[in-house]
Amino acid sequence: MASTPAERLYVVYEAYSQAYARRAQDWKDAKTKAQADTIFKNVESLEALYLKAAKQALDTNAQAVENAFEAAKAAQKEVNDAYEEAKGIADKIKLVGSVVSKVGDLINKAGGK
Amino acid sequence: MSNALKRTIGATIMASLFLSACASVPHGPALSLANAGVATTSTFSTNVRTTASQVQYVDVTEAFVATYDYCANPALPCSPQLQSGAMVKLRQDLANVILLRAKAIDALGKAYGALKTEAEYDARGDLVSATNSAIEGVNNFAAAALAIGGAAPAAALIGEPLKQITGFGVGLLADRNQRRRLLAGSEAIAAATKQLRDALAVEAFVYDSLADYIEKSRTAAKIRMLDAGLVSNTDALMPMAANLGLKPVSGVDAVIAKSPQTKIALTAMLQAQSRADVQLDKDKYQASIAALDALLRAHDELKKNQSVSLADVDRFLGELNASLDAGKKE
Repeated sequence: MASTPAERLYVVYEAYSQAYARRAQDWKDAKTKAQADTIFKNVESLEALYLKAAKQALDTNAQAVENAFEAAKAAQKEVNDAYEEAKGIADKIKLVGSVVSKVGDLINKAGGK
Repeated sequence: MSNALKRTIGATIMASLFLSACASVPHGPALSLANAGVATTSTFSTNVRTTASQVQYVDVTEAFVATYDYCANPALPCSPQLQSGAMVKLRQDLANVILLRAKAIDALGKAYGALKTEAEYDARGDLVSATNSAIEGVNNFAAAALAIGGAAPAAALIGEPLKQITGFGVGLLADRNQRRRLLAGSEAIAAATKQLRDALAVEAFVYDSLADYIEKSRTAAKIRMLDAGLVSNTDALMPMAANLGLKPVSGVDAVIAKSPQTKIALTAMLQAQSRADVQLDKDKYQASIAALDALLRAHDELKKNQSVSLADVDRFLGELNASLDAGKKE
């Protein structure tokens, strides 16, 4: 069954919301300024994607959209697992960066771009 | 059936039609309906404008939260962590979409106001132009909601844009029968109310996530300000203490400063309060839609020449106003 615009927005919002909730601890764990700046950039990118998604229809129905939807959910699960397993900050940053890219892809495809 | 009976039935129908045309002007019911419409739109508009301004205010809370958290790591060079100008613009754009709602609701409020004037003073209010403005506002908002909600379900719910009533308005103004003017005005306003209600329902899921977005940002700022000792913990404790019928002792800040467990408990309480506030925001939105539904039922009752029941509108407005008052006390 195809995902709905509401489910797609939920995935986008959760990606931002969780990254935002974890950011304070991530900054405490950051070893370098470059890491800290990437943490800032990742959360800001996810917030920007959410704000864009809240303004537009995520209503395109196509297999490519479903694939992007599943890919975004899988990427978020990898992030959640990394935090559960208390992986190193470098790994976490990389995985959140992957969510940014997957969520961006979902919005582009579901928004008909 | 005999010809005599047919004539009798025909005469009865004619008499009914005549009586219907001469029925008394429904001043009271129309006035009650108009008053309820003015109150509903006014409360709803306040709620929506608050949301729009809170979305924009995230710029401010986020600057404080991000800088405070970034600088907590002594290994990092502490400096203000401001978001990009593009983020500010994104929030402004979203706030503008939210404000479209408020404009549509305000225009509808003016149409109810005109209906009230007409019903109250036996005077011709600016019913046509006010209703046309309401229709224009609702059409703009419905188009924006259509873009948000997803074409298929939204198109089915919202349907075609409403038509302006200018042409019909000429006849309406020329009609010396106030009963017909009131009923025609009520019908046009009901169409705009229905369109607005459907558009609001379509984008409810966007509003739900927005409520969460705003509350999390505001709560994060509260927790950091309390942690930094910049504001008094007494204010943060007040809602829970009042709910339990208690009064915080004097010197709360000193007590909390000495007790890490109390500090953590306070943070947990604020996070739980935030969750409750998100639910309250969602409930407010649903109560607003329910109030519009109740108004639509009252329009229908007026059309059918029944007494207008506004108890539901009052109840939903009561819920909304209580929520708004609770929000002000925070």
